Amino acid sequence: MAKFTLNINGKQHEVDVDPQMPLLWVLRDELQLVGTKYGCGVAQCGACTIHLDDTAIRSCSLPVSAIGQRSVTTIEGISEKGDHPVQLAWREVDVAQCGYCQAGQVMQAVALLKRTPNPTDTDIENGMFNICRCGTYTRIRKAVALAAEKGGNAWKE
Amino acid sequence: MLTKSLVVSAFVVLQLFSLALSQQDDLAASKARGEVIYGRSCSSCHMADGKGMAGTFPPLAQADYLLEDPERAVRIILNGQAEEIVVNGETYDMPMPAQAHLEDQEVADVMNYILNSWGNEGGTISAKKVKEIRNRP
Repeated sequence: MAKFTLNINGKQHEVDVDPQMPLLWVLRDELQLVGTKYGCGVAQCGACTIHLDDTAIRSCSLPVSAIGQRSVTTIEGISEKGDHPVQLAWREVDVAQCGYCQAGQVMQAVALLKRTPNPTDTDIENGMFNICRCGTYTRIRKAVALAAEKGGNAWKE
Repeated sequence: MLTKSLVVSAFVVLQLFSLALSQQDDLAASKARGEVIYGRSCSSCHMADGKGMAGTFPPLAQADYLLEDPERAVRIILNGQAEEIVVNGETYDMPMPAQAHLEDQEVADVMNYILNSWGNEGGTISAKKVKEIRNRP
């Protein structure tokens, strides 16, 4: 076990865990931030996507010891009331079916729009590659385009 | 006679020149396709800049482990990796899942992108080569 001070969603959190513990389990089991989901466990599906600084990262494969001073943002941290432009677009397009992949998809989309505020269809297609077992890909793309139109890059502090 | 051989040699030179050009085009096209595949299948760990994360995800940019044996990298893409490795003097033991769902051409494209980006000058890999490596027992 080892102590780590993590900057998550703008707050400092102290945890005492195995250094190899994936960030996902620190978030879910130690800090009860359960918006981030476990999918495949091998950094493939994207259900566990969070941001490390501004980069979308698969938290299931990231040991807590690798984080250091970088700031972590989870789905709980992108807006206070679930009203980030991407979340609003998600609701407007009615993207979710079962909703399990949703948090990861939204985090992927937010990172994409931060990097590319005015994405082309190809940018969206290439940038949104998390797996959705329900197959809602068309609506995911539509929502990302809508969020971009409405200023999805606007970061709610 | 002389004219004829001149024409023939000019033709040969021209052919060689256009062959070289088309090979360059082939690599550029392969790299462009590979960049998309890299973004989808590799960048969430190895990062968009190929630098990985020191001690956790090994770098691909100017990585001795990659460049000294690109065919081994093809094997790792196809079969995954579970051994501890040393890259640029740093030890990495996080397993990498196999990406065997990628087709031969896709593996070649992503390899060509990796081998020719971020300061790497690592040559090329053909789809035929990938197929051969995939079919090895």
